[in-house]
This record gives sequence, structure tokens and C-alpha cells, in this order.
Amino acid sequence: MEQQKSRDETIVLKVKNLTKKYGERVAVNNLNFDIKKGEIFGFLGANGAGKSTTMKMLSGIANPTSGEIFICGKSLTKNFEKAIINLGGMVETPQFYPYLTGFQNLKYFASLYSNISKQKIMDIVALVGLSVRINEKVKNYSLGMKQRLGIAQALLHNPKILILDEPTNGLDANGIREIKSFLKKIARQRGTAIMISSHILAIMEDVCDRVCIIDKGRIVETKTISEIKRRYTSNGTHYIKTNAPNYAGMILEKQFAIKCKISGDKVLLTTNEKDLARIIIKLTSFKIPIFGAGEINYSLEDIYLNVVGVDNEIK
Amino acid sequence: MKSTKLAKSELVKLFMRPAIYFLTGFLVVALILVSIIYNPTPRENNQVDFGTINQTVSDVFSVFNDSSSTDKDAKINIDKNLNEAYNRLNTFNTASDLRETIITKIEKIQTFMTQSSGSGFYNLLITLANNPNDENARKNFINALSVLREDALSIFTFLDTEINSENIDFYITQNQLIEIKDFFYKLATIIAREAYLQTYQSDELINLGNRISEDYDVSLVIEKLTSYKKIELNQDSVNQIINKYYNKIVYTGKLVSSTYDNQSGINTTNDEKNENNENQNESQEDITVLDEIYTQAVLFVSKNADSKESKDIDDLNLILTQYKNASIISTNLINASFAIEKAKGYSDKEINNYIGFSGFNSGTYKEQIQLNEYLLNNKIFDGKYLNNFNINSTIGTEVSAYDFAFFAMQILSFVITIFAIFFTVSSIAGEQAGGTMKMLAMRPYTKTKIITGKLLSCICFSLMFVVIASITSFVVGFSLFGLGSEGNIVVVFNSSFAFELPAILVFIIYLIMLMFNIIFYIMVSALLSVILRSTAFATFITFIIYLAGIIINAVWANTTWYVFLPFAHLDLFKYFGGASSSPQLFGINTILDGNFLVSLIVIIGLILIMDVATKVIFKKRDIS
Repeated sequence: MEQQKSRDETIVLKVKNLTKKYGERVAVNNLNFDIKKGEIFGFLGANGAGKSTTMKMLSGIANPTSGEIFICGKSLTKNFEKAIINLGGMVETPQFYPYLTGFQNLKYFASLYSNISKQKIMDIVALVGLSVRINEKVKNYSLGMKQRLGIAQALLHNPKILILDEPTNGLDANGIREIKSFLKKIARQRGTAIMISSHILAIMEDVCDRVCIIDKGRIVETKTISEIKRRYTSNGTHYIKTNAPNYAGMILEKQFAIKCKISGDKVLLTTNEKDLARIIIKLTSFKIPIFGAGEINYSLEDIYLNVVGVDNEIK
Repeated sequence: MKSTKLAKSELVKLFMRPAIYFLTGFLVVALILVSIIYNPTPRENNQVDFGTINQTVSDVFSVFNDSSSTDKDAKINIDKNLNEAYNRLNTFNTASDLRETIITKIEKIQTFMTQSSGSGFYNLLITLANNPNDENARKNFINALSVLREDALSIFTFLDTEINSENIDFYITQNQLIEIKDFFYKLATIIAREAYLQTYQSDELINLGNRISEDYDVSLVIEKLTSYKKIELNQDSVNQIINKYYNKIVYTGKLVSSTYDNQSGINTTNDEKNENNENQNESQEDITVLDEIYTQAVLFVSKNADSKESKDIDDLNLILTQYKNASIISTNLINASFAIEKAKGYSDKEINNYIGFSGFNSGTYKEQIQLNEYLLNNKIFDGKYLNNFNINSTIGTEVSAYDFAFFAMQILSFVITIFAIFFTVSSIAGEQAGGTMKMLAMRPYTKTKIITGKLLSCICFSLMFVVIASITSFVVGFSLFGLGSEGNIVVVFNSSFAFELPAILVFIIYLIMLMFNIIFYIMVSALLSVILRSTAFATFITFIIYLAGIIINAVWANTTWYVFLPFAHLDLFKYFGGASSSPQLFGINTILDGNFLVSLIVIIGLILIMDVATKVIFKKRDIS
């Protein structure tokens, strides 16, 4: 019982049977998930899967058709103000008042809460890396700068959970790197839970503790990254790329009793680096051309495509 | 969080918009234009001004008393005007009967047409029918036809020229009158001129005669006319009017004899008069207002008869002016009461249909009565208050800063309202389209509070600009015209209560009523914003509604359907004496069957309904 209770206290966001219908079309279908304190939770899905819609419902932008949302234990429908104050968000492209400077925009949002000092605003500006250009009018900002400002406005009031919809949109490689370390930092240091959605899997892989895959409005699965990876590594740890994979595989199995799988032009097998070198020499002695070999890097992309299916039409 | 907190943040944000510069610019330009075009006609001071150089006080008095004078300010003519008003009222019930006159004329034709003996039309027709070849019968009938034609034409002409708004003594609508006129016109025109009739054969004549007999039943016309109710004044009411507004005022020649003996000053107090009552034959009631004033004049003249000083002549003229104005007040009261008596039992909408009453507005007359009674009861006989307060003329006899401020604010309020609409729409539909509304959705404010906060900020903003514009207008007016000499305005509220207020208070009342108007349009634009979600549409449609309101007020205020529109209730300031003013620039002035309380409830009701509707719709719909 106590364990349950303390677990509940660390649950920052709880979504129960969340559904959103637009007329006949069901955009979000019976979602259930929890996010814990300090956790970075990834929301993974194709365009139109329902990620943004879900996030809009969480941030109070859209009304759920049915279901419940609890932020820090407070119901969003019954206790909106007390619930939403724990949440900061950036859903779709962040929009600001173009005739105001970045700072004036932040000051306006800060004034909607109590006691957010100018110093605090400047601290957050420094945190997102906008100190140099914060006093320029937003209409002159690039998309990347607006993204940073978007994150800044979400952090002003020290929310317990941050909802970020495609936060790396418009950022260059440097920016993406910064964002990743930034997110990890605030999750670990401040204990802020973060929910991010993206279709750029490289980022999710690097940053998320757990990932929820959503397709056609439904959750397909929710697992930690390591859990997902573990499942697929049963396919093999290393690969050998050749133009005669079937022949190579047959040789390996018959001659060396090594179990392997064939995937396209790759032979997949479970082994280690040392043994791999010996296998390559052996295969070469059979005059099998080898174009590449190494450790299989299971990207979330492979997993995702595997799970969701390559055949994915736009709806 | 409280919506006032949001309102404050919104207000700050509003003032940072670049559009504020446009607004200020427009206001400045508008104010400059107003300063250039402002050219009011100052009130008449209605002063009597007899006396050329070298005349003594008693000479001037003689000019006033000259019974052959044609000067409109001479006593003889002042008294004549009052008596004419009295006569019109007093003799209305017994005056010659227009309706009877018409009926009598028509009855003559009826007799002529239906007489079955002698030279009656019908008889001659039968005769001809029986003797179609008799030349005499034919000639006689042609004669009868011509007579009929003449008679019908003459009735038509009579109806066309003799019925006017002055002499009508029965209730008939324009359409009803046209119907009757038509009847006789058609009757006259189906009969050809005599020369042409001569060419008709007997059978043609007989046909014509039969047609006339069948189709033109004059008795129906007489029935209709008789059914139209006569305008009759209730004799008790008439006597009351005469008692209150004539008998107590009219000049009877009785001079207050006690004041002859009085050494101390022109005006005797009531106490002194009562003390002297024993010395007089007449009691206080017999002394009319004009008697009193005239006595003052006599007394003054007796003291200063030979003086040629301009100050003394001015003082005499002042007293004579009072005489004139008191008489005008009485005339106004009689005329206004007379008008109301004639329309008794009908609402303004109903009575407007009748001839002699088109454009009738009981509010105007009631205001007149309240105003003039007030002046009478308070013995205010200088001319400045004689015409009701009117925004397009001046408060006093000189143009003052107040006059300028009133006029300027009418134009500036137009600009402010347009911008209030624009800012409201921007803050709701604009933010929704621009995406910043979703940034607001995540703040600790329910959707209802978001709307409340935004509306409050727009209303606050409008109020601030109204105040700034007013003060600026006043300052500009002050530098152009100074404060002027008159401080007070007699305000008639709801056509029922008259009281004096300092001009500044009336101005403040005007601004408060203006705010109701602006708040109304802010609510309209907010509601349209949440429904349409498009800045362009919401602004455009609200603007159209605003313009439509102005135009309908100016043009169609008298139609029957007008009072069902909200526009009929949007100008609350008209209830402060607006009914008898000439039309304002951007507001209505006719109180048609209207009541301040009703209009106030309608406006507040509509505002509340729109408020609730806006919030409900906003809450139900997703922001994006």
C-alpha cells in the first residue's frame, strides 16, 4: 500500500481512457499512460497518429471527448487552474506577439503568474541561450530562436511537467545537441518530467527514458528504450554484409554451427568482436565477398518501422 | 488566478501595440478637423432691446407699450401670440367642424345622385333610359353628368387643399384620405368634358349612367368618414391647462398696488406682500406672473423716468425681456399640452399614422412641458433656457469649452468605438488565428476568465481613451473659446423630471452613457470573434452593424419596426433632454414611446446575454 502511495505521489501526469473525436473520425482512442517525476517520456508516431492532438488536450488547448487527465493528482476538467499551473508546454510552432521583443513576450506571460521576477526571466533566457537577442522584436526571430523562446515561456513558472511537441523542429545540428543535453539536465537536476513528441528517432533514442509508440490514435506499446532494444537484439548482435547472404548463412550454419538470420543483404548473428574477425577470415576463404561487417546498431527507426510497419499511408 | 490580473496584463500588452499610434494619430487629426469645422449657432439671448440714444427710460417704456407697434417684442404682439395659443386651445371643441363640412358636401352629392325626382341625376337617367330618343332628356342628362363632374372635382380639390395639419379635427390616415380623394377623382374623370359628352349617343350615356350608379356608392364614403373618430379634447383637461398655464400667467392689467408704496427696491418679498394685503382689495391669487413683471417695470420707470443712462435702459430692457419670456413659456406650455391632448389615448407609433400627427413625438412635448414648468416654478425668465439643451447649439449665449467638448466627443467617440471594436477582435479572433491564444490556454485561467480578462481590458482601454479625448477636447475648447458665461443646464430626464445641473456634470453623464454604447459594441465584436474566428469577418460585420445603427437612427427612427431594434435603446443620453433637440451627429434623438429604465434594461440585458454566449461558445470550441 505504501509503495503504491509513494509511487502515486511521483506520478506527475496520469492519462486515463483519453479519447478525442472530430465528428465521426477518432483521432485519439482510449489512451492510458503515466509519467513519473523526472522522467523523460517520448511520444513516437507518424504524422497524423494523434501526438499533437493528445498534447493539445494535455495543455488545455483542445477539449477531450472523453477520458480524464490528472496533473499532479489534480483533474484538468474539474480543477483546471490548479492542475494546469504544474504544466508548461510548447505545442506546434510556438507563436508570440510579433510587435513585442522576446523579453516583453516573456514578461507578459510571467505577469500571468504570481512572483516571477525579472531576474528569473533572465535566468531562463540564459538557460535557453537567447541572452544576446532577447531584446529584439520577435518578428525578426528565426524559427530556431522562436523554439528556444517557446521553451523559455514553458519554463517560466517552474512546472513539474514539460510538454514539448517537436521541440527540435527548426534547430540545426548544434541546436539539437544543445536541446538534448538541456532536456536531460532539467530532468535530472530539477526533477522536471518531460514529455516530448517527435518523429526524429535519433533524438528520442538519446534522451528518452521511456517511449510510447502511437499509431492511428492508439498506443501500440509503451516500453523503456532498453526494453525495446533487448527484444530486438534477439535477432543478433553483429552483421556481415555480402552479396551472397544466403550462401554465407548456409556455410556458417553447416560448417560453423552458428545460428544466423538473413535480412536483406546482411547476415545477422550473435557473437562477439573477436569471433567475428575469425568468421570473416573463414568466409573469405570460401571466396564469399564481404562488403561490410560490424555491430548492429539498432536504431529506433528500425524498431519503429518494425513495430508500426513500413506501409504507412497518410490519413 | 483572478481575471483582473489577466485584464491588467492584457491592458499593458494593448498599449504596446503599434496600432495605438494610429489611434492617437486619428484622434489628433479628428480633433484638428473638428476645431476647423466647428461653427455653432450660439443660443439666442432673446433679449428685448428697445431704446436708441437719447431716449429716456419712459420713452423706451412707451415704445414697448405702443399698441400700434409691429415689433415682435412689443407688448401688443407678445400678448397677441399668447392669446392666439389660448384661443386655439379653448375654442377647439367648438370651432367649425371640418369633418362635418366634408360630410355635408358629400351628402349633397349623394342627394343629387340618388334623387328619384326632379333634376336629380338618377331621375334624369331613368327618364333618358325610358326615352332614349328624346333630345331633351338627353340634354338634361348630359347636364346632370356635367354637374356631377363639377361637384366631384370640387370635393376632390377641397380634400386636396383644405386638409392640413393645422385644421384637421378627426383622425384619418394618409391612406384613408387618399382612398376618398381617389373616389371622387375617378368619379370626375370617368365623365368626359361636356363638349365631348355632347357627341355621346343615348345608349352610351345610359351605359355611363348605369356604371356610375353601380360603382360609385357615395353612402359608403359617408359611412367611412363618419366612422373616423373626431379629435375631441377633454374639457376638464382643457380647463386645467387654461388654469395652470394661462390664467396664472396672462396679463390682466392688475398691478400690485402695495408695491407702489414700497420704498425698498423692485421686488417685494411674500411676507411684505401679505402684510400689505389688508391695504389691497385683491388677494395674492389674482396677481398673474405677467402682472407682477409689468408692475416691476412700471415701478422702475416711475423711479427712473427721465434717466438716459444706458445702464438704466438696460435694466428696463431686462424686465421687458422677462415679460416676453414668461409669455413665451406660457405659450409653449399651452401648445405642448394642446398637442398631447389631441393625441391622447394613442401611442406615438399609432398616432404617427394620422394626418396632422406624422412625426409626432410625445417625448418632445412632455420634455417641453417639464422644462417650461420648471422655468415657471423657479421664476427663471431669462431667455437662455427657453430652448431645450441641444448638443448642436450652445449651452449659453456664448460658445464655451463645454460646447466644443460635446461636439468634438461625438466625432472622437466614433473613432474610439471603431478602435475598441478592432482591439477586441484582435485580442480574441486575432490571437486565435495568430496562434498566441494557445499560449494563453496553458495559463492558470479558465476559458471563461480569459474572455472576462480580455473584455475588461478592452473596456478599460476605451474608458481611458474616452477620458483622455474628453479632457483634450475640453482643453482645446478652452483655449479656443474660454469657459463661457453660462454654467448650468436645465436637464429634462425621461421627459418627466426637470432639474438644473452644472454643465460639467451633464458632460460626465454624456460620457457615462457613451460608455454603455461602446461596451455594447465591444460585446458584439467579442461574440462575433468567437463565432467567426476570423479577424476580418468579425471586424467587418461589427463595423457594418455599427454603421447600420447610425444610419437607421438618422433615417428610420420613426418607423414602426424601429423600436424593436436594439439601436432604439443604444443612445441613453437622449433621455436627458434629447427628444426635443434637433438630430445629433451620430445619435438618435427621438424618444419614441421610450423610457430610460426600459432602454437601460435592454442594453444591460443584451450585454449580459452576449457575455454569456461568448463565454459558452469559447469554452466549447477547441482553441486550435
